[in-house]
Amino acid sequence: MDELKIPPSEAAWRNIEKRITQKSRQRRIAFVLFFLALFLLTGGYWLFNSGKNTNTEQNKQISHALKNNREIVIAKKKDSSSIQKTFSNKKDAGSNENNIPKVIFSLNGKDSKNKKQVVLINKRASIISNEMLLKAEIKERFSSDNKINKNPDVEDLLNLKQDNLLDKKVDLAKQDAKSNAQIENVTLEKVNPDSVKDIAGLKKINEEKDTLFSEKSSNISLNKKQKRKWILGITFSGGKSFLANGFLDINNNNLNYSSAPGSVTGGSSSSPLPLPAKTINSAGFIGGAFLEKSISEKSKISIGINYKYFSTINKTGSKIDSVVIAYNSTTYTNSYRNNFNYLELPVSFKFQVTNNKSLPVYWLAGINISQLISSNALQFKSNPGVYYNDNSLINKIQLGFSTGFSATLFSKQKNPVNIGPYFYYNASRLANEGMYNKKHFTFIGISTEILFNKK
Amino acid sequence: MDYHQLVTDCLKLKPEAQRMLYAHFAPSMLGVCFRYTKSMEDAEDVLQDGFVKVYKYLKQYKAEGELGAWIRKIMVNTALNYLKSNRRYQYDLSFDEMPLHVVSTDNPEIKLHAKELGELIRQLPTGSQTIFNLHAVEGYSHVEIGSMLGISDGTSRSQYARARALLIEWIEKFSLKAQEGKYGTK
Repeated sequence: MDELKIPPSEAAWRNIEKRITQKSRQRRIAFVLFFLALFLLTGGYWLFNSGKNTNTEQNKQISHALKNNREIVIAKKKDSSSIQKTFSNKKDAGSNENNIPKVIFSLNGKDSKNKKQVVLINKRASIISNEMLLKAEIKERFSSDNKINKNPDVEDLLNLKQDNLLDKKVDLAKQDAKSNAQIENVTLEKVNPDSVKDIAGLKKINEEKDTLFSEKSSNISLNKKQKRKWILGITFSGGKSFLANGFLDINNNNLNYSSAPGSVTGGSSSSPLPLPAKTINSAGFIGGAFLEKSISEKSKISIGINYKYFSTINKTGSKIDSVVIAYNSTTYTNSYRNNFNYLELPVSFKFQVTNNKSLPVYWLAGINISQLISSNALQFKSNPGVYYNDNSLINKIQLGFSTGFSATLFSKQKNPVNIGPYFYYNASRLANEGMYNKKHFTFIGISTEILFNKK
Repeated sequence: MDYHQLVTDCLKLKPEAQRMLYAHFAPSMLGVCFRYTKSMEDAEDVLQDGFVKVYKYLKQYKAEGELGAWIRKIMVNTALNYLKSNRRYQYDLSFDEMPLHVVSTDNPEIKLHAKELGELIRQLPTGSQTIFNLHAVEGYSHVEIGSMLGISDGTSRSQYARARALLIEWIEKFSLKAQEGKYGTK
């Protein structure tokens, strides 16, 4: 019997060639898409971060320092109010214009362009004068017991005043930076000779403040780095999966049996061939783990790995033989669940849309690549009207987009919980032929995430 | 032919190698598919499905066994799946017990060409045809056939006996006709 050899028709090879090249092309496209998406996301993330770091690092430090200083001032105000009262009388009585350095800048000539710079410099001089006055008062008050540096009350007061001055100096520094070049043209006209010596002394104070400022800044950036660590979390979304022709077409679930392999005619009602029963949308869920990281004050990025389950239900006739094949009948006695099991790699961005710190609400946007692990989905052949299983018709790799909102409960606790509506759309076709030809999965559900913060 | 090199090239998705593999094995494999089906169109359908599977699972092929035997096994399994999924064959693929015709068990000393015998086998009811092919041609045991088709080995045995008896009957008739034609008797 082995000698029975029949040469096949040329069309047979053409069909085979078409099918095998189509599959390898699909695989290649999916591969390219995956790396393209990965490249875009990585590149976008890098650009987003690097641009922000180089342009705004200094501003951030200044703004954080200002914020921090304001908090310190408020906290210390209560403690030092009594000390301030003690000094107020002395300040009024002991203030002598001769002892206070007066630094007055004016324009050499009538150059009106540099008026603003002169005003700034005068303001700065006034602050320096106040600072010196304060120091002189403290020295005078505590010179008898010689405990200026060791007395904690005095240190508090000094710090308080220095913080206030620092606030003002930072504001001025911002404005100074813009016009340093122009300021060089401005000459010092009237300077009290006594103040020159004091200004030299003040340099030392300024240096100490700068050290303090840089220490604070480094602490702030350290805290920020700690805040921007990857945080582990788990997620679970439960809902309903819909099979439809396109985006938001979730009610259209009539499957494309007319293009099923082996069908002879279309799915018209007058066709003598049996038609498949209507497909019912059914449950779906997504569960997995992810890593989340803050990329700015109000945005986060997360990557993860999920198991995804979608399903539909077909009404079929009785099972044929012991093999898992069912045929269509007019009675539709059995309910058959078509399961689709995927492994998913989601990358998503979260943007905070409310300013409420106790219950922040985020808008989520993501891109998901998933691989079909297994499926028992039925295909339909209108001639002779049989349901059968053939996973080779289903596209294994799917690209999808997700969006949703999530509110963060217990946001200041160790394990904050994000909860909210979740929407997912499979942009890739489920299949290019057969019962699921040109169909897309949509999932609508409620998503829950639990984060594991290290505190 | 260097099958090892051919398989390696096919795994690298070289079109010439794929074409060569097909050209080398397709005629004999179509002969296999032909015995399991009722028409040449169906046989070619099975051949196409089978070769798509061959290319898909070629990486699983181990060079220890013979390549032709491995491809043949895929063709047989594809043919069985085709028969199960095709309703046209479902009517005939019933393995109910049927009374056998009592015919002579003497072996006719008639030599048939493979194609003529293949044609006779295809005239058998699908169930008997499948079991005859699996047992007599492919060499599967009745227990193996039972597990492949989801039937008992007893059913397989009786179906095989039925197929054999029918074939003997037809071959006798065929030889009688041939003799009549040879000697010109009416």
